[in-house]
Amino acid sequence: MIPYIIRRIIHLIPTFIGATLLAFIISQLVPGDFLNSMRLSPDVRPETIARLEQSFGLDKPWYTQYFLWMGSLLRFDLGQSFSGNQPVSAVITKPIINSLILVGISLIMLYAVAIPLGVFSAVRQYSVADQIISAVSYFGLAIPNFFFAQVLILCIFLFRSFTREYFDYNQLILPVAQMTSSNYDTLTAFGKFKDVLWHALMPAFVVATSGIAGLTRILRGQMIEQLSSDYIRTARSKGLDERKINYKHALRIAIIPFVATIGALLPGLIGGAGLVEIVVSWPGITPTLLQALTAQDIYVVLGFLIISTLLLMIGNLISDLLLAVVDPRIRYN
Amino acid sequence: MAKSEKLLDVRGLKTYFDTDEGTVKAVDGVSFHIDKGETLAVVGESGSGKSVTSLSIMRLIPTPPGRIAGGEMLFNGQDLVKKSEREMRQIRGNDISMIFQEPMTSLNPVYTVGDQIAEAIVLHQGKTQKQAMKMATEMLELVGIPEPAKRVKNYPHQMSGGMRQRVMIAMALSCGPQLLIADEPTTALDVTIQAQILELMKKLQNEIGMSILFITHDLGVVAEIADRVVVMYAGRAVEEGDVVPIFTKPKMPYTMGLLNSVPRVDKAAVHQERLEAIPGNVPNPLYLPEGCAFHPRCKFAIEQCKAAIPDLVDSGNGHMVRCIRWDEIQKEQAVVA
Ligand SMILES: Nc1ncnc2c1ncn2[C@@H]1O[C@H](COP(=O)(O)OP(=O)(O)OP(=O)(O)O)[C@@H](O)[C@H]1O
Ligand code: SF4
Ligand SMILES: [Mg+2]
Repeated sequence: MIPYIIRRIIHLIPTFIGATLLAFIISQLVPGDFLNSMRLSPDVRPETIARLEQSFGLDKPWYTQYFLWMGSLLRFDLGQSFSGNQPVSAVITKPIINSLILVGISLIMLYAVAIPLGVFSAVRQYSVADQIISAVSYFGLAIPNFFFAQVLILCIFLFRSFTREYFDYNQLILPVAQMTSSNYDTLTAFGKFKDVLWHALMPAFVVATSGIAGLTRILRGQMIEQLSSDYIRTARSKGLDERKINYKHALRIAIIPFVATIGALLPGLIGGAGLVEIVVSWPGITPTLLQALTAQDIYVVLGFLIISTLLLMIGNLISDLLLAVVDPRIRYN
Repeated sequence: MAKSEKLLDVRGLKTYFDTDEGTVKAVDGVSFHIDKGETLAVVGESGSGKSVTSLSIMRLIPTPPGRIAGGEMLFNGQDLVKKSEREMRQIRGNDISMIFQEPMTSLNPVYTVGDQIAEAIVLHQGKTQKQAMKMATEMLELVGIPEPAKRVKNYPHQMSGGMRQRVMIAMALSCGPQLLIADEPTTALDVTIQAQILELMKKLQNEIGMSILFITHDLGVVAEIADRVVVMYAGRAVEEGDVVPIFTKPKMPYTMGLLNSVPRVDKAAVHQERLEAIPGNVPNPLYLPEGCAFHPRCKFAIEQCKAAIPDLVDSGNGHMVRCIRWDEIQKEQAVVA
């Protein structure tokens, strides 16, 4: 397994170089740079601009900038952010953690909802419930996340008007913005945890919807295929009950392709969290990234790119390892 | 032998499938019985309803589209048709167990063979997982798998087809069933392995004293293993009796055709003129011929054969035949010989 992992990482190096180079070139195609606004301002003297250009390295040709940056990368240094004058790592760490919290919770929701739904609709194939699940799934696949988030926010507000009217209860049942309450700093560790979780519920659900819909559909197909296979007939002939047959035997195999794709799912979910983060003002990757892009704070953008690539690599490794755990046919080859 | 006792008595079993094109009468009034300790072979061409019959006994017909439309199946005097799903689960794998044609796919690829054998033992015998694994190892030894203590931890893909079929047998026998249903257990195996598996089944039958319902289309196997035979055609039993009379003096033209279509060791080459396949094909179960379903392919057929489905009648000594002309045909054959 270890040589395999090493081989995998070596294979990723060219991909990694290609991706960063491409990103660098694209950033150069955009006219101007971080100092644009200063250049246009009559208050800033040309000498100041020149000094800044020099200190940021913006006076050098783009390929020199690229190699310098790659050089610092080898020392595990992501470079400096132009705005705020702090290391890139300091700028991007918090947003990445915040996004991972959101995505982690939605990943849990995704599996917790999609697996039972998929199994249920396979077992009750063509029943009314199965058809309702199908219809809702297509809706979930079709509706854009940012729009769905706004619809849910609206619903939560409407529900408050309702409870205010009839129950004299003037609170939102779920928070609709931010990641923490205003009294977050005064809370205990467990209280903080609960607070974040509470805030994450709605956006995480939104991020998970299309995944839930897709996974339910595919799992249903996988389960139907497995349930008609020979080893299920054997399991029935042993006298096992339906629960054991569905979960212990059929699902155990139907789930294998999903374990294999957890790694690919992770970056997809992070991407999917994007606009939702903006709608609910979640202090995650997307708002910070958009800010950096507008300001042409190029190393911050590249920093996000590198971390996402790393996450992708780690995700793929994790799913490969998990795959070997769930599928003995792979483990013994 | 003491007066034989019926273990399973199938009477007028009807298993239908409701498909988009119409009702497929896969099994249409099949009757036979199995005595304690005996081996009954069910033979017939592909599609004659052998597997559907065996799955009906296990009550494992997929519903829908399938359903048991009639008849009774008395197992130790109790009708399996009337059992609830829960009661059936206590019978399956415990009193009646089954092995299948496809050893390569009949085991779950993600569990060890030991786990899969132990599963039934834990379920039916209330043993702990640890005791059950020990018994699973003993079962592997019983079915002749070398190094059972090591093999018990193997996954199915680490074993050959013959070994996997042995595992299936070990699993089926782990709870000491009274009836073992074997649906073409050797068809997918090569000839030497086939012989070994048959040998094993005979040996274990003697040790455990169970009855076997052996499904096959290989008449050579029947001669080797069975006490009695049921010949099926288009969802019905057309001839039933002890092996020797059926092999030496078949009375139903379909059985004669079947016997003529295989090389025989017991008949000297001079006696058996030449091998001939039965002309024509198995009828489409949706459009069974009127009357005797075999008449389009039967060289003895007369107009009257199309009128009504012949009854299964006793031609003497419990040798049952479903043919209106069996008597005449027998005399005719005697003249020819
Ligand atoms: N699920 C099903 N739906 C519709 N028809 C079915 C189904 N299962 C079996 N049949 C029909 O029942 C008939 C008998 O099938 P069965 O499998 O019992 O044949 P068999 O005698 O076991 O043949 P083989 O030697 O090929 O195994 C076939 O005509 C088949 O088309
Ligand atoms: S009943 Fe007629 S058609 Fe059928 S087997 Fe007998 S002779 Fe042939
Ligand atoms: Mg069959």
